Amino acid sequence: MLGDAAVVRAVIDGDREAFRVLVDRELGNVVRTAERVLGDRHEAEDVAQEAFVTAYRALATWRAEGPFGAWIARIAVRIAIRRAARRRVLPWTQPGRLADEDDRTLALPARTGDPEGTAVRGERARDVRQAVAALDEPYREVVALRFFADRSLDEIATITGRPLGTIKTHLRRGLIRLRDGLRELGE
Amino acid sequence: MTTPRRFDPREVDGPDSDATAAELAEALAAARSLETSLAEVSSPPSADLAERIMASVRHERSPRAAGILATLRRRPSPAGVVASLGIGWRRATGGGPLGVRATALAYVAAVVLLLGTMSGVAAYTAAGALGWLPGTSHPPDASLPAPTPAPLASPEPTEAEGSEPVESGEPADTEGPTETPEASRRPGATDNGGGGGDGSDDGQTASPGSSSDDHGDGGSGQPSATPRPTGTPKATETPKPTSSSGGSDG
Repeated sequence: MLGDAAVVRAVIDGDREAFRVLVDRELGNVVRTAERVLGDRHEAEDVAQEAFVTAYRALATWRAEGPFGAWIARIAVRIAIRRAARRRVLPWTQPGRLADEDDRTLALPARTGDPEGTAVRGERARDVRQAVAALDEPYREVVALRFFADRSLDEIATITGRPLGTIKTHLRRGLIRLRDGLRELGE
Repeated sequence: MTTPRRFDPREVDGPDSDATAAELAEALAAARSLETSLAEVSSPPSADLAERIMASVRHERSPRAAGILATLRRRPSPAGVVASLGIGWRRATGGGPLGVRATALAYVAAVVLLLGTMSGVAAYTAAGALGWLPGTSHPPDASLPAPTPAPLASPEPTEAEGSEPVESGEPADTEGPTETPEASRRPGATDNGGGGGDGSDDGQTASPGSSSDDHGDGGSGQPSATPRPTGTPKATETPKPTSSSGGSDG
Protein backbone atom coordinates (compact mmCIF):
# COMPACT_ATOMS: atom_id res chain seq x y z
CA MET A 1 0.00 0.00 0.00
CA LEU A 2 1.42 3.28 -1.11
CA GLY A 3 1.75 6.01 1.44
CA ASP A 4 0.07 9.36 1.03
CA ALA A 5 3.30 11.09 0.11
CA ALA A 6 4.13 8.58 -2.61
CA VAL A 7 0.68 8.88 -4.15
CA VAL A 8 0.80 12.65 -4.09
CA ARG A 9 4.23 12.61 -5.69
CA ALA A 10 2.92 10.36 -8.42
CA VAL A 11 0.04 12.72 -9.13
CA ILE A 12 2.35 15.70 -9.26
CA ASP A 13 4.65 13.83 -11.58
CA GLY A 14 1.78 13.45 -14.03
CA ASP A 15 -0.15 10.35 -12.99
CA ARG A 16 -3.52 11.99 -12.68
CA GLU A 17 -5.36 8.72 -12.08
CA ALA A 18 -3.29 8.08 -8.98
CA PHE A 19 -5.48 10.64 -7.31
CA ARG A 20 -8.21 8.02 -7.36
CA VAL A 21 -6.33 6.19 -4.63
CA LEU A 22 -6.66 9.16 -2.34
CA VAL A 23 -10.31 9.61 -3.22
CA ASP A 24 -11.16 6.03 -2.43
CA ARG A 25 -9.17 6.19 0.76
CA GLU A 26 -10.64 9.35 2.21
CA LEU A 27 -14.02 9.83 0.59
CA GLY A 28 -16.02 8.21 3.40
CA ASN A 29 -14.38 10.36 6.09
CA VAL A 30 -14.79 13.52 4.09
CA VAL A 31 -18.47 12.94 3.41
CA ARG A 32 -19.10 12.03 7.03
CA THR A 33 -17.32 15.14 8.26
CA ALA A 34 -19.27 17.39 5.93
CA GLU A 35 -22.52 15.73 6.87
CA ARG A 36 -21.85 16.31 10.56
CA VAL A 37 -21.29 19.96 9.90
CA LEU A 38 -24.18 20.47 7.53
CA GLY A 39 -26.62 17.79 8.53
CA ASP A 40 -27.46 16.99 4.94
CA ARG A 41 -26.14 14.06 2.95
CA HIS A 42 -26.52 15.50 -0.53
CA GLU A 43 -24.93 18.76 0.44
CA ALA A 44 -22.19 16.86 2.18
CA GLU A 45 -21.37 15.01 -1.04
CA ASP A 46 -21.20 18.30 -2.90
CA VAL A 47 -18.82 19.58 -0.26
CA ALA A 48 -16.74 16.42 -0.57
CA GLN A 49 -16.45 16.84 -4.31
CA GLU A 50 -15.43 20.47 -3.95
CA ALA A 51 -12.94 19.56 -1.25
CA PHE A 52 -11.23 16.93 -3.41
CA VAL A 53 -11.01 19.24 -6.39
CA THR A 54 -9.59 21.96 -4.18
CA ALA A 55 -7.08 19.55 -2.76
CA TYR A 56 -6.10 18.40 -6.24
CA ARG A 57 -5.38 21.97 -7.32
CA ALA A 58 -3.31 22.64 -4.23
CA LEU A 59 -1.67 19.26 -4.07
CA ALA A 60 1.81 20.70 -4.54
CA THR A 61 1.43 22.73 -1.39
CA TRP A 62 0.78 19.72 0.80
CA ARG A 63 3.87 19.38 2.93
CA ALA A 64 3.35 15.78 3.97
CA GLU A 65 3.83 16.74 7.60
CA GLY A 66 0.61 14.98 8.54
CA PRO A 67 -1.78 12.50 7.03
CA PHE A 68 -3.44 13.49 3.78
CA GLY A 69 -6.79 12.68 5.39
CA ALA A 70 -6.34 15.35 8.03
CA TRP A 71 -5.38 17.87 5.39
CA ILE A 72 -8.41 17.26 3.21
CA ALA A 73 -10.64 17.08 6.28
CA ARG A 74 -9.58 20.58 7.12
CA ILE A 75 -10.45 21.68 3.61
CA ALA A 76 -13.84 19.99 3.84
CA VAL A 77 -14.59 21.51 7.24
CA ARG A 78 -13.83 24.96 5.93
CA ILE A 79 -16.03 24.51 2.88
CA ALA A 80 -18.84 23.02 4.92
CA ILE A 81 -18.74 25.77 7.54
CA ARG A 82 -18.74 28.37 4.80
CA ARG A 83 -21.80 26.77 3.29
CA ALA A 84 -23.49 26.55 6.66
CA ALA A 85 -22.81 30.21 7.26
CA ARG A 86 -24.23 31.11 3.86
CA ARG A 87 -27.51 29.42 4.35
CA ARG A 88 -27.72 30.65 7.96
CA VAL A 89 -30.60 28.42 8.93
CA LEU A 90 -29.35 24.88 9.07
CA PRO A 91 -31.94 22.38 7.92
CA TRP A 92 -33.55 19.88 10.11
CA THR A 93 -32.18 16.45 9.36
CA GLN A 94 -32.91 13.11 10.79
CA PRO A 95 -29.92 12.13 12.84
CA GLY A 96 -28.79 8.59 13.07
CA ARG A 97 -27.80 6.60 16.06
CA LEU A 98 -26.45 8.47 19.02
CA ALA A 99 -22.74 8.39 19.41
CA ASP A 100 -22.92 8.34 23.15
CA GLU A 101 -25.22 5.55 24.14
CA ASP A 102 -24.52 6.20 27.82
CA ASP A 103 -26.16 9.55 27.76
CA ARG A 104 -29.58 8.32 28.67
CA THR A 105 -31.06 11.74 28.98
CA LEU A 106 -30.69 12.20 25.28
CA ALA A 107 -30.80 8.64 24.15
CA LEU A 108 -34.07 8.96 22.43
CA PRO A 109 -34.72 6.22 19.93
CA ALA A 110 -33.99 7.43 16.43
CA ARG A 111 -35.20 4.61 14.30
CA THR A 112 -37.94 3.13 16.35
CA GLY A 113 -40.68 5.01 14.70
CA ASP A 114 -40.86 7.62 17.45
CA PRO A 115 -41.49 10.79 15.50
CA GLU A 116 -41.47 12.98 18.60
CA GLY A 117 -38.12 11.72 19.79
CA THR A 118 -36.70 12.01 16.33
CA ALA A 119 -37.87 15.58 16.11
CA VAL A 120 -36.33 16.49 19.45
CA ARG A 121 -33.04 14.91 18.54
CA GLY A 122 -33.00 16.59 15.18
CA GLU A 123 -33.67 19.95 16.71
CA ARG A 124 -30.96 19.43 19.25
CA ALA A 125 -28.47 18.41 16.58
CA ARG A 126 -29.34 21.50 14.60
CA ASP A 127 -28.79 23.71 17.64
CA VAL A 128 -25.40 22.17 18.26
CA ARG A 129 -24.34 22.69 14.65
CA GLN A 130 -25.50 26.25 14.80
CA ALA A 131 -23.61 26.82 18.01
CA VAL A 132 -20.43 25.38 16.49
CA ALA A 133 -20.86 27.45 13.34
CA ALA A 134 -21.28 30.54 15.51
CA LEU A 135 -17.95 30.05 17.24
CA ASP A 136 -15.14 32.40 16.40
CA GLU A 137 -11.96 31.20 14.80
CA PRO A 138 -9.76 29.46 15.70
CA TYR A 139 -12.08 27.74 18.18
CA ARG A 140 -14.57 26.74 15.51
CA GLU A 141 -12.00 25.03 13.36
CA VAL A 142 -10.46 23.13 16.26
CA VAL A 143 -13.82 21.98 17.62
CA ALA A 144 -15.02 20.97 14.16
CA LEU A 145 -11.83 19.07 13.35
CA ARG A 146 -11.92 17.29 16.70
CA PHE A 147 -15.60 16.33 16.78
CA PHE A 148 -16.86 16.49 13.19
CA ALA A 149 -13.73 15.25 11.44
CA ASP A 150 -12.76 13.07 14.39
CA ARG A 151 -9.12 14.10 14.21
CA SER A 152 -6.67 13.80 17.06
CA LEU A 153 -5.22 16.90 18.63
CA ASP A 154 -1.79 15.93 17.36
CA GLU A 155 -3.09 15.86 13.80
CA ILE A 156 -4.86 19.17 14.27
CA ALA A 157 -1.68 20.70 15.62
CA THR A 158 0.23 19.39 12.63
CA ILE A 159 -2.10 20.54 9.90
CA THR A 160 -2.74 23.91 11.48
CA GLY A 161 0.91 24.49 12.31
CA ARG A 162 0.14 25.41 15.92
CA PRO A 163 1.64 23.95 19.09
CA LEU A 164 -0.26 21.15 20.76
CA GLY A 165 -0.74 23.21 23.92
CA THR A 166 -2.33 25.95 21.88
CA ILE A 167 -4.70 23.46 20.27
CA LYS A 168 -5.68 22.17 23.69
CA THR A 169 -6.37 25.66 24.89
CA HIS A 170 -8.39 26.47 21.80
CA LEU A 171 -10.41 23.29 22.20
CA ARG A 172 -11.13 23.96 25.86
CA ARG A 173 -12.13 27.55 25.27
CA GLY A 174 -14.11 26.57 22.21
CA LEU A 175 -16.07 24.00 24.19
CA ILE A 176 -16.77 26.48 26.97
CA ARG A 177 -18.02 28.99 24.44
CA LEU A 178 -20.04 26.29 22.80
CA ARG A 179 -21.65 25.57 26.14
CA ASP A 180 -22.55 29.23 26.48
CA GLY A 181 -23.93 29.23 22.95
CA LEU A 182 -26.04 26.20 23.64
CA ARG A 183 -27.45 27.87 26.75
CA GLU A 184 -28.46 30.84 24.66
CA LEU A 185 -30.20 28.48 22.28
CA GLY A 186 -32.17 27.06 25.17
CA GLU A 187 -30.26 23.88 25.73
CA MET B 1 -19.82 2.43 10.44
CA THR B 2 -17.51 4.64 12.43
CA THR B 3 -18.11 5.71 15.96
CA PRO B 4 -16.53 9.02 16.91
CA ARG B 5 -13.90 8.87 19.56
CA ARG B 6 -15.24 9.68 22.94
CA PHE B 7 -13.95 12.91 24.35
CA ASP B 8 -11.44 12.54 27.14
CA PRO B 9 -11.14 15.48 29.56
CA ARG B 10 -7.41 14.98 29.57
CA GLU B 11 -7.40 16.25 26.00
CA VAL B 12 -7.87 19.78 27.27
CA ASP B 13 -5.99 19.37 30.50
CA GLY B 14 -2.35 18.88 31.19
CA PRO B 15 0.56 19.96 33.33
CA ASP B 16 0.76 23.30 31.57
CA SER B 17 -2.97 23.87 31.62
CA ASP B 18 -4.32 26.71 33.68
CA ALA B 19 -7.87 25.45 33.43
CA THR B 20 -9.93 25.42 36.56
CA ALA B 21 -12.11 22.52 37.57
CA ALA B 22 -15.20 24.51 36.65
CA GLU B 23 -13.83 25.19 33.17
CA LEU B 24 -13.01 21.55 32.66
CA ALA B 25 -16.50 20.60 33.75
CA GLU B 26 -17.97 23.09 31.31
CA ALA B 27 -15.80 21.79 28.50
CA LEU B 28 -16.72 18.23 29.30
CA ALA B 29 -20.42 19.01 29.35
CA ALA B 30 -20.17 20.76 25.99
CA ALA B 31 -18.25 17.85 24.54
CA ARG B 32 -20.89 15.42 25.72
CA SER B 33 -23.62 17.53 24.18
CA LEU B 34 -21.67 17.64 20.97
CA GLU B 35 -21.10 13.92 20.93
CA THR B 36 -24.71 13.05 21.61
CA SER B 37 -25.87 15.31 18.85
CA LEU B 38 -23.53 13.86 16.26
CA ALA B 39 -25.44 11.72 13.86
CA GLU B 40 -23.65 8.55 13.07
CA VAL B 41 -23.39 8.24 9.33
CA SER B 42 -23.79 4.62 8.55
CA SER B 43 -24.53 4.62 4.90
CA PRO B 44 -21.59 4.92 2.54
CA PRO B 45 -21.30 7.73 0.04
CA SER B 46 -23.04 7.48 -3.27
CA ALA B 47 -21.53 4.89 -5.56
CA ASP B 48 -20.80 7.34 -8.34
CA LEU B 49 -19.40 10.06 -6.09
CA ALA B 50 -15.81 8.94 -6.53
CA GLU B 51 -16.25 8.82 -10.28
CA ARG B 52 -17.80 12.27 -10.30
CA ILE B 53 -14.87 13.59 -8.35
CA MET B 54 -12.41 12.04 -10.77
CA ALA B 55 -14.34 13.47 -13.69
CA SER B 56 -14.00 16.91 -12.15
CA VAL B 57 -10.34 16.32 -11.52
CA ARG B 58 -9.75 15.42 -15.15
CA HIS B 59 -10.99 18.83 -16.15
CA GLU B 60 -8.43 20.44 -13.92
CA ARG B 61 -4.92 21.28 -14.93
CA SER B 62 -2.37 18.85 -13.71
CA PRO B 63 -1.00 19.96 -10.35
CA ARG B 64 2.60 20.92 -10.69
CA ALA B 65 5.15 21.23 -8.04
CA ALA B 66 5.38 24.75 -6.92
CA GLY B 67 8.52 25.87 -8.69
CA ILE B 68 10.79 28.37 -7.05
CA LEU B 69 11.12 30.65 -10.05
CA ALA B 70 7.52 30.02 -11.11
CA THR B 71 6.40 31.33 -7.75
CA LEU B 72 8.58 34.38 -8.20
CA ARG B 73 7.18 34.96 -11.69
CA ARG B 74 3.62 34.70 -10.46
CA ARG B 75 4.24 37.10 -7.59
CA PRO B 76 6.96 39.56 -8.51
CA SER B 77 6.95 41.18 -5.11
CA PRO B 78 8.67 40.82 -1.75
CA ALA B 79 5.97 38.32 -0.81
CA GLY B 80 6.88 36.30 -3.88
CA VAL B 81 10.52 36.35 -2.89
CA VAL B 82 9.63 35.15 0.58
CA ALA B 83 7.37 32.44 -0.85
CA SER B 84 10.05 31.26 -3.25
CA LEU B 85 12.55 31.24 -0.41
CA GLY B 86 10.18 29.10 1.62
CA ILE B 87 9.72 26.66 -1.24
CA GLY B 88 13.43 26.57 -1.86
CA TRP B 89 14.22 25.94 1.78
CA ARG B 90 11.65 23.17 2.07
CA ARG B 91 12.97 21.59 -1.07
CA ALA B 92 16.55 21.92 0.11
CA THR B 93 15.83 20.39 3.48
CA GLY B 94 13.31 17.86 2.24
CA GLY B 95 13.91 14.37 1.07
CA GLY B 96 14.37 14.83 -2.64
CA PRO B 97 17.06 14.02 -5.17
CA LEU B 98 20.44 15.47 -4.41
CA GLY B 99 20.47 17.62 -7.52
CA VAL B 100 17.13 19.20 -6.68
CA ARG B 101 18.16 19.84 -3.11
CA ALA B 102 21.49 21.32 -4.16
CA THR B 103 19.82 23.60 -6.67
CA ALA B 104 17.28 24.76 -4.12
CA LEU B 105 19.98 25.33 -1.54
CA ALA B 106 22.02 27.33 -4.02
CA TYR B 107 19.01 29.47 -4.80
CA VAL B 108 18.34 30.11 -1.14
CA ALA B 109 21.98 30.94 -0.51
CA ALA B 110 22.12 33.29 -3.49
CA VAL B 111 18.99 35.14 -2.50
CA VAL B 112 20.06 35.42 1.11
CA LEU B 113 23.48 36.69 0.04
CA LEU B 114 21.91 39.21 -2.31
CA LEU B 115 19.48 40.43 0.30
CA GLY B 116 22.25 40.62 2.87
CA THR B 117 24.45 42.64 0.54
CA MET B 118 21.65 45.02 -0.32
CA SER B 119 20.81 45.46 3.31
CA GLY B 120 24.45 46.11 4.14
CA VAL B 121 24.83 48.70 1.41
CA ALA B 122 21.64 50.38 2.45
CA ALA B 123 22.70 50.43 6.07
CA TYR B 124 26.16 51.78 5.16
CA THR B 125 24.65 54.49 3.01
CA ALA B 126 22.21 55.47 5.69
CA ALA B 127 24.93 55.53 8.31
CA GLY B 128 27.09 57.70 6.06
CA ALA B 129 24.27 60.10 5.45
CA LEU B 130 23.65 60.37 9.15
CA GLY B 131 27.31 60.87 9.90
CA TRP B 132 27.66 57.79 12.00
CA LEU B 133 30.72 56.59 10.14
CA PRO B 134 34.03 57.73 11.66
CA GLY B 135 35.70 58.53 8.34
CA THR B 136 32.93 60.74 7.11
CA SER B 137 32.66 62.98 10.14
CA HIS B 138 34.17 66.16 8.58
CA PRO B 139 32.24 66.48 5.33
CA PRO B 140 28.92 66.18 7.10
CA ASP B 141 30.09 68.85 9.54
CA ALA B 142 30.76 71.19 6.70
CA SER B 143 27.56 70.37 4.91
CA LEU B 144 25.20 70.24 7.79
CA PRO B 145 24.23 73.58 9.23
CA ALA B 146 23.42 72.36 12.69
CA PRO B 147 26.93 71.46 13.90
CA THR B 148 28.56 74.41 12.13
CA PRO B 149 27.49 77.26 14.41
CA ALA B 150 29.08 75.66 17.43
CA PRO B 151 32.67 75.74 16.14
CA LEU B 152 32.20 79.06 14.35
CA ALA B 153 30.72 80.69 17.36
CA SER B 154 34.04 80.82 19.14
CA PRO B 155 36.04 82.55 16.36
CA GLU B 156 33.38 85.17 15.84
CA PRO B 157 33.59 86.58 19.32
CA THR B 158 37.38 86.75 19.03
CA GLU B 159 37.06 88.74 15.83
CA ALA B 160 34.50 90.92 17.44
CA GLU B 161 36.83 91.47 20.34
CA GLY B 162 39.60 92.34 17.94
CA SER B 163 37.43 94.95 16.32
CA GLU B 164 36.35 96.39 19.60
CA PRO B 165 39.75 97.90 20.28
CA VAL B 166 39.57 99.45 16.86
CA GLU B 167 36.26 100.94 17.71
CA SER B 168 37.55 102.04 21.03
CA GLY B 169 40.35 103.78 19.20
CA GLU B 170 37.85 106.04 17.52
CA PRO B 171 36.95 107.75 20.72
CA ALA B 172 40.67 108.03 21.30
CA ASP B 173 40.88 110.18 18.18
CA THR B 174 38.37 112.55 19.59
CA GLU B 175 39.44 115.51 21.61
CA GLY B 176 38.51 113.93 24.88
CA PRO B 177 41.76 112.05 25.33
CA THR B 178 43.82 115.03 24.26
CA GLU B 179 42.27 117.13 26.95
CA THR B 180 42.98 114.44 29.40
CA PRO B 181 46.79 114.72 29.01
CA GLU B 182 46.53 118.45 29.50
CA ALA B 183 44.74 117.93 32.68
CA SER B 184 47.34 115.42 33.61
CA ARG B 185 50.08 117.90 33.03
CA ARG B 186 48.80 120.03 35.80
CA PRO B 187 49.00 117.32 38.33
CA GLY B 188 52.38 116.41 36.80
CA ALA B 189 53.66 119.89 37.39
CA THR B 190 52.08 119.88 40.74
CA ASP B 191 53.97 116.74 41.63
CA ASN B 192 57.23 118.15 40.43
CA GLY B 193 56.78 121.32 42.36
CA GLY B 194 55.42 119.49 45.31
CA GLY B 195 58.58 117.41 45.41
CA GLY B 196 60.54 120.56 45.99
CA GLY B 197 58.35 121.49 48.79
CA ASP B 198 58.28 125.18 47.75
CA GLY B 199 55.42 127.51 48.39
CA SER B 200 54.87 128.11 44.67
CA ASP B 201 53.90 124.54 44.21
CA ASP B 202 51.50 124.78 46.99
CA GLY B 203 49.97 127.76 45.32
CA GLN B 204 49.32 125.82 42.10
CA THR B 205 47.79 123.01 43.90
CA ALA B 206 45.74 125.30 45.89
CA SER B 207 44.08 126.83 42.87
CA PRO B 208 42.07 123.75 41.90
CA GLY B 209 41.65 122.47 45.36
CA SER B 210 40.84 125.82 46.91
CA SER B 211 41.10 124.46 50.35
CA SER B 212 42.48 126.30 53.31
CA ASP B 213 44.73 123.42 54.17
CA ASP B 214 46.44 123.56 50.76
CA HIS B 215 47.02 127.23 51.15
CA GLY B 216 48.73 126.66 54.33
CA ASP B 217 51.11 124.19 52.65
CA GLY B 218 52.01 126.38 49.57
CA GLY B 219 54.46 129.28 49.15
CA SER B 220 53.57 132.87 49.74
CA GLY B 221 53.41 134.96 46.44
CA GLN B 222 54.51 132.61 43.66
CA PRO B 223 51.17 131.09 42.69
CA SER B 224 50.22 134.23 40.83
CA ALA B 225 52.93 133.54 38.21
CA THR B 226 50.91 130.68 36.73
CA PRO B 227 48.34 131.97 34.28
CA ARG B 228 45.41 129.74 34.89
CA PRO B 229 45.06 129.98 38.55
CA THR B 230 45.06 133.63 38.09
CA GLY B 231 42.35 133.30 35.41
CA THR B 232 40.04 131.44 37.69
CA PRO B 233 38.22 133.51 40.22
CA LYS B 234 39.32 131.33 43.03
CA ALA B 235 42.92 131.62 42.00
CA THR B 236 42.69 135.33 42.35
CA GLU B 237 41.28 134.89 45.77
CA THR B 238 44.01 132.55 46.74
CA PRO B 239 46.78 135.12 46.83
CA LYS B 240 45.04 136.81 49.67
CA PRO B 241 45.21 133.85 51.91
CA THR B 242 48.61 133.07 50.45
CA SER B 243 50.07 136.26 51.70
CA SER B 244 48.73 135.60 55.11
CA SER B 245 49.78 132.01 55.07
CA GLY B 246 53.18 132.81 53.63
CA GLY B 247 53.80 134.99 56.55
CA SER B 248 52.96 132.20 58.81
CA ASP B 249 55.33 129.88 56.95
CA GLY B 250 58.14 132.33 56.64
